[in-house]
Amino acid sequence: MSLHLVNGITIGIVLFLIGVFGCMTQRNLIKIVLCLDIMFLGLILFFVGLGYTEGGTAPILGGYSVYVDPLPQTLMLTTVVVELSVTSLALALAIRVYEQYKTLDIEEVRT
Amino acid sequence: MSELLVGMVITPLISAFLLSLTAVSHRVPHTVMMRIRNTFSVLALTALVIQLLLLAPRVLSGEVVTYTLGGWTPFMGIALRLDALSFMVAAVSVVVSFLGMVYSFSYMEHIRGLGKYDAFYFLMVAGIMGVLLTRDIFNMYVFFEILSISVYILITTGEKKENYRASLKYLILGSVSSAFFLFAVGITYAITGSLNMDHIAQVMPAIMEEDPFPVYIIFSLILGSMGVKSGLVPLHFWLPDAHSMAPSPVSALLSGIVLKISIYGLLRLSFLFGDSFLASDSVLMIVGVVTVVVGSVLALVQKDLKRMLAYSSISQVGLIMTGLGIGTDLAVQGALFHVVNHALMKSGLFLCAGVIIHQSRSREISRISGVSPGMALCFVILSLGIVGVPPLNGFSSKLVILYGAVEAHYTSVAGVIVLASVLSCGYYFRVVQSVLTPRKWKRTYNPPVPWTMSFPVYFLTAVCVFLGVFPLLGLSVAELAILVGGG
Amino acid sequence: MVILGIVAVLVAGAVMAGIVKGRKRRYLSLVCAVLSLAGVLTYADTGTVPEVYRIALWMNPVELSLRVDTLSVAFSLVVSLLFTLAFLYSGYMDIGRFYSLLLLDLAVVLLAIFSESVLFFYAFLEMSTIITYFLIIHRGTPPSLNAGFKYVLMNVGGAVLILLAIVVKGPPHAPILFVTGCLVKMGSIPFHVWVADAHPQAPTPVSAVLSGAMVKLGVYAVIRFAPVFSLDNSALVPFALLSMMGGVILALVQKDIKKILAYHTVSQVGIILLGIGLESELGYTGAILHMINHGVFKGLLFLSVGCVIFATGERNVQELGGLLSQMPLVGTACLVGCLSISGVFPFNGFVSKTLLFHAVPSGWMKGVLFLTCAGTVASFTKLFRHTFLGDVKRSSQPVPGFMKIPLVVLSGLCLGLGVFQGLGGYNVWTGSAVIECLLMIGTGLAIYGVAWKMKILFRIPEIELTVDKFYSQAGRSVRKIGIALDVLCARDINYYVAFMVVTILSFLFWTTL
Repeated sequence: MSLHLVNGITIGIVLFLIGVFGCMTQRNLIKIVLCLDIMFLGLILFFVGLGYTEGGTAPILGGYSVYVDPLPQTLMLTTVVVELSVTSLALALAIRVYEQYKTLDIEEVRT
Repeated sequence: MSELLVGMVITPLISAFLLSLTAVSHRVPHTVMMRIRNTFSVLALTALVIQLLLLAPRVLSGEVVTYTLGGWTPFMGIALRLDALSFMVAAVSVVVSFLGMVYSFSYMEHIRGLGKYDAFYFLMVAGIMGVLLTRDIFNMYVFFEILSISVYILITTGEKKENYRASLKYLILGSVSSAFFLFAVGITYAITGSLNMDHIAQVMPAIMEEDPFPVYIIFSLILGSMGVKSGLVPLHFWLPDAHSMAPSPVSALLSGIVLKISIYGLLRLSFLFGDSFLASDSVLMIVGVVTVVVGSVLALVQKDLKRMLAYSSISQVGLIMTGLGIGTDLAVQGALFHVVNHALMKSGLFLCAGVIIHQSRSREISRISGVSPGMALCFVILSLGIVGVPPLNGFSSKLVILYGAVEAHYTSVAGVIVLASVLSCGYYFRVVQSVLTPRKWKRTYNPPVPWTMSFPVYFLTAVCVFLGVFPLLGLSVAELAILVGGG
Repeated sequence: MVILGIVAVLVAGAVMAGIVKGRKRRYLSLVCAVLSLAGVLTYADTGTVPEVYRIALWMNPVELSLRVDTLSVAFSLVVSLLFTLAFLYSGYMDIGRFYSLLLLDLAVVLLAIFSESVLFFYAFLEMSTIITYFLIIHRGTPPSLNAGFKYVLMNVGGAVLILLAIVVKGPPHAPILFVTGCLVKMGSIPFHVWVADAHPQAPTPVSAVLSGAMVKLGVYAVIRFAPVFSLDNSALVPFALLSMMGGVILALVQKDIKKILAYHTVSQVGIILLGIGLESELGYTGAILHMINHGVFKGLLFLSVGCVIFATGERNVQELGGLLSQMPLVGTACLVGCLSISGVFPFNGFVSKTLLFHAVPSGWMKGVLFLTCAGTVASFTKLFRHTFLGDVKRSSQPVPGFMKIPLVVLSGLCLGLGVFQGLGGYNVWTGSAVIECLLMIGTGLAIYGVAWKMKILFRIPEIELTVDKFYSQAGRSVRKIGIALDVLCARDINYYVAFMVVTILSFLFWTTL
């Protein structure tokens, strides 16, 4: 197992931090929702990276000596579903907010 | 017998699904549909109550009921477990959600016509039960998300612009905190190779000895994300909006139960790091004290009744956290009892506030008037309970926390708790004054209060008085929860 | 278990009074109060050996223990008598929850008096505080609401200090906390603000009870539970002297008759406190005696002044006058009260004041006590003269009979307790005591004369407002902090997320530290 700096874990963490940074800086609701997506994307990558083994294969049938840990991948299926519903709900709410306030700028939505 | 644990999660989940189906059908007349929905909701919640009652004797004798899904070994598969700690919170949750449902029969009548309210209400209950029962931390994350998503939707049922704003704010902050939680789960999996709480707790001491830094990261992330969900002070910003904008029965559940679920989550997860990890660093205690003070001071300046109640919740959550942070058995016992007490009192207060707002047609504290005597009495009793006046339940739990604080030589913390009760006296008596004033204007039509709205309030008030007069009922369960729950 | 019987009767009466309507309510509560008085009277022959009853409560970690001894019986007798007379007196206000609350209050106060452990004393004290709050705001006018708010905030504050003392249980903090809590409850001078507001705003029977029973509970707590906290009683002396003088000076310049009486409560409580602070047996006896006597004559004064207010609808002394001819009985009763509180023989105030006077050792303290008594004389000369003598300024309506009976009973008690006070062999009826008394009256009249000439009798001084201002300023600054925090919290979501990240990082920093 070689130590590449560019692997699922580091990229995942970097993406996660980018998402957090976006949530801290973006002024537009849609962009904030996108940043949430980036955060979760990073997390998904992080999890998949955790289970990844150099040269491993999918453990579908027996007979492999080196295989990828399947548990994080299955977990991430659930996370993808959860994230999908959160994003769709957020976007739906953003539409309603836009209807009511005629803007998506968080500063004006504040009150 | 332990199959009932699955039942407790599945029952509300299936009910939510079936109730969402009722939104599709259009052939059935509206009134019939409403009756079907009401009957079905009551039946589902009764089933939940019966399941809890069946398990109660075993749990209360100190037994731990475990069920492993799919027959996998506990370390591999997902285990559900009911011990005294989760039973205590689950019992309160089921009671309050039952009463909240009964309350919404008339309060939410026109919104419930659409059918989505019931469905998401049950989804929320399913999330609550799942978080309480699961022993798998990723599973806990999923149930937290189920709970949160249904809460986001329930907040919007008022369909005003403030509702959407509050819900979106909660959604963004809640999702960020969930992401932090998921991150913590990932790191835990990376260093322990397991998601089962028992297994993690077993291997954790060795890891702590080797390199404690990742464990500290996990702890901070969990504390942060649970802090957001339970409204600890530098993270509480979503709470007043969400709790005051939600319809009253939902506010009651949010303040009464959902906050307590996050506290439960924090407590449960803190057992992963060893018995007294929460107490060893006084971080939680200090954050709790800050929360108590800031919550009280902010509640003092609110003009809106429900917003004031929301800030009061923040302050009470701070009190609970202080008790947990002190970490001695006595303090934790008091904090756990206060979890129960505050759940009952605050949900009662929010339900009562719904009736008060309905009767005086104003949410502003200074403009409340013309409240019916029974409701005024309930409001007075419940708020006295929060202030901590004997012989109500809030007094007993506060007293136990105070004893715990002094026993652990945190006399100044005890002083702050006492100061907070004086402040709470300040903000509750302002409302009590207005609640007692007779109606200021002439109105021919006096809005009737149906029994479905008044009964839950009376019931909760009665329970509060009962628990206050006989505090050992709650304290002994809390004691059992510490004995059995730790681990 | 007579006490439990009394409490059961009172609680049942309170529930019934909420249910029945009209006049029956009053008769019912009167019967309950008389029953409780009779019940307490059965303990009257209690000897010097205290009896302790322990009652295990179901599902409670602590057991309720009641202690019946001379002190508690004497105090409870005064309290239940005052409550009974208050019920008799309050026939003119016929509103539902009043009777229920007053009955509950009596039950709770009796339990507080008899309870042996501090914790239960605290519990009942707090309950009585809350019930009294609802009695004070009974009229529902904005001033009474404000007075009630001040009352409840300060008294709950005092009560929780006592609670904290109970929990801390030991020096160095517990005695200080306990004493502070008791001083707030009894309205001693740095904490007297609520007394001056709550007494005038409460309905008259409630003011009588408030002054006779509630305020005394603080004093009673000090007498009863000082040993528990190993309290140094001499620490009370400065507060006592401050309250004595301050109360009298403030009373001397008031216009509102009920406010005059309220400030005299402050000053008389100071005298009682002085007796306790002396730490001599004589001082203790004098203090306890004065506590009981003060309950009687202050009750009488409040009730007779209440009759005046009922008859004329006026509370300003300057607007009153010449009422003695119109209501001779009320006037006489008021005179008895005035003489009694001034410590003129042969009324009960004389006995206890002389005792305390003899108990005071040092010269200057004696001087302060003497000046206080003289000031009391001056202030009551003012009250009586401007209310009952002089020209008639106001027409008055007749006072119903049921309001007069309590006055007669209490006047009789003032005289009876003065003449037949059993003092365990100590004789106060000496020539020197009478001369002291006459000297005091002379000084008092001189003070009144000088003050009248200098026209400072009706000028409310700055000092009263300053102390009040301190508390309101404290309240306002908490409010300001709150508003500032509220503004601070209203930010964008960006800031909230940033807060979250910073908080998590600081948690991390903290735990790794």
